[in-house]
Amino acid sequence: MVEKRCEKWYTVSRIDHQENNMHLKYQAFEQKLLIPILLFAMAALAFFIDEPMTIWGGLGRIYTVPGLLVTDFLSPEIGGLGATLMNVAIILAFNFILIKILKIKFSGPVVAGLFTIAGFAFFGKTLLNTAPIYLGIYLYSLYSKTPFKNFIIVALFATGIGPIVSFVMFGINLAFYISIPLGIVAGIFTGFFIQIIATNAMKFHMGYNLYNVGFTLGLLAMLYTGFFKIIGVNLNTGVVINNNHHSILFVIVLFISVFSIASAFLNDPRVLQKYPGLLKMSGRLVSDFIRETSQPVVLLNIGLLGLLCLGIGYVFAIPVNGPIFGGMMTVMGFGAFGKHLKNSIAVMTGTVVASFLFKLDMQNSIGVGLGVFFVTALAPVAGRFGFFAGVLAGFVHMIVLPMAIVFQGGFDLYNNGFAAGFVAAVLVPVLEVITSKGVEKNVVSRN
Amino acid sequence: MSFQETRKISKIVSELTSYLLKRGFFHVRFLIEKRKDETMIEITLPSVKIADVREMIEKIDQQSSPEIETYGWEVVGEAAEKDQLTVLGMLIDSVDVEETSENLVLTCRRKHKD
Repeated sequence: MVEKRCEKWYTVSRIDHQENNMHLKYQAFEQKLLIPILLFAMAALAFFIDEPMTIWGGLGRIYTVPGLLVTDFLSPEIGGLGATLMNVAIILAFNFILIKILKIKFSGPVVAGLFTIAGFAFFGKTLLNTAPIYLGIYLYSLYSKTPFKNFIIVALFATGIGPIVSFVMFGINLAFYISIPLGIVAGIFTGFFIQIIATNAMKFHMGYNLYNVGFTLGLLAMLYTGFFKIIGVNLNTGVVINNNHHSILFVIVLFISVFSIASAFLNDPRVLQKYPGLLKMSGRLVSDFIRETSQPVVLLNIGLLGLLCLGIGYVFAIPVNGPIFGGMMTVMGFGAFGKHLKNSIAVMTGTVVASFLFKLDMQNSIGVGLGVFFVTALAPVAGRFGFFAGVLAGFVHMIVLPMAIVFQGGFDLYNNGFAAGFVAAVLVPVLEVITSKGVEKNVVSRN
Repeated sequence: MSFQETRKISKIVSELTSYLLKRGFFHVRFLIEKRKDETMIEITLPSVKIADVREMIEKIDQQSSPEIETYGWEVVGEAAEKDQLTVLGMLIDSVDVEETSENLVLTCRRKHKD
């Protein structure tokens, strides 16, 4: 007679325990913590800093600049601090409400997407230039008969190509009755195809570039750049940077970091003991850290990454302007979706080594400064292949980075994501071969 | 069932095969049964106890996430990495485990999404 034992506990646990557990994990981010607080803090701070009329005027200018890389909205001739913070609050509120309406859980990629949107609303994203992209993605969801909510991750990150909309609307000398509809069409067109291309682009770098949509947008931006150049449109809108708000931006990042860490410990006093578990993960796409660990562990990670960014900024005297602030926010957001202290420090070290070796100016060159933070797109390389592989990736990234902006013309705000895609595509197959990870170890039969 | 669904089923089988072989389970039988609304993947491991694959089962027991699945299922892989199994688990809707004196049978089911 065959002894038979059915493990019914397992199916039961799936329905009852896991569903509730996951719901609670995500709910904390949504209701109690970071996102709503960030949203209201930005709006309140805007009114504390500037008069409503000044904010209104600044918003008008923010909405009508072409916004190509690098346009710092903090600059007084564009928006100023109050209007920029209001821009952040508006775009964050729109996305927050959208997520609530669609009943999407606050998973790691969604948290990363919201932080990224908040950061890039300092230098390129507005509600006006992102709305047509959402519309394009929505139309694709109708075309593919797939719920729009399934495309939310791509939608959140696809807003990085907002400048294509602004540039067509306000950067070409066309009458507004032509340029504005044309800009909307450009956004819809881009949004419609982005999901298809993003899914396939991921295979190019095998998930080792966390800014996959940034890479995808870079490919599209390259086509737009070629088109505009061939018809003789000047894409050189110059670099606008404003370093006058260094201290307040530094304090905002410090506040968010400390708040995250405090929330982590309040939610789970033993969070520090659990944190090393997160550090063991490679972070390769698509790692939802909230799902794989817990909300307090992720909050701690976000806070520590924020402190790491501030520490690096302080040590190397990198001024915190709009774009650098955006970089820091993005690093923190991806603390829920692939980045942690261990894999980030490695790639950041690579950029610092390259900067010293090639005498790159971290303080005054915005491209170099941004590279130091956004190189963390390649953090999974360090997570999988170790510290020195991460340093190598960071080093190579700084070599490739200046080429990327030339190709994509500044339409893709995630220039580092575009560069990182190429770096990962070249390095990862090589690392696979030369490290022991690519070689089958002596495995003994277990059955 | 769309071609995309077929590719996802193939991905589940491929990644689980890779994971098991890399961990020394050299005798593995797969039975794939495509039904009207779902596909069943039955994995039979002779002379294996639950404890031997408990970690794998716990990793692939994940609540589905349509948005993460849509975004990144193409790069699910490298199942040798434990954290990648979690992502693979998002493609699987339920797991049943049956242990006999001779075999361990895992039955994974995926409901057809389109």
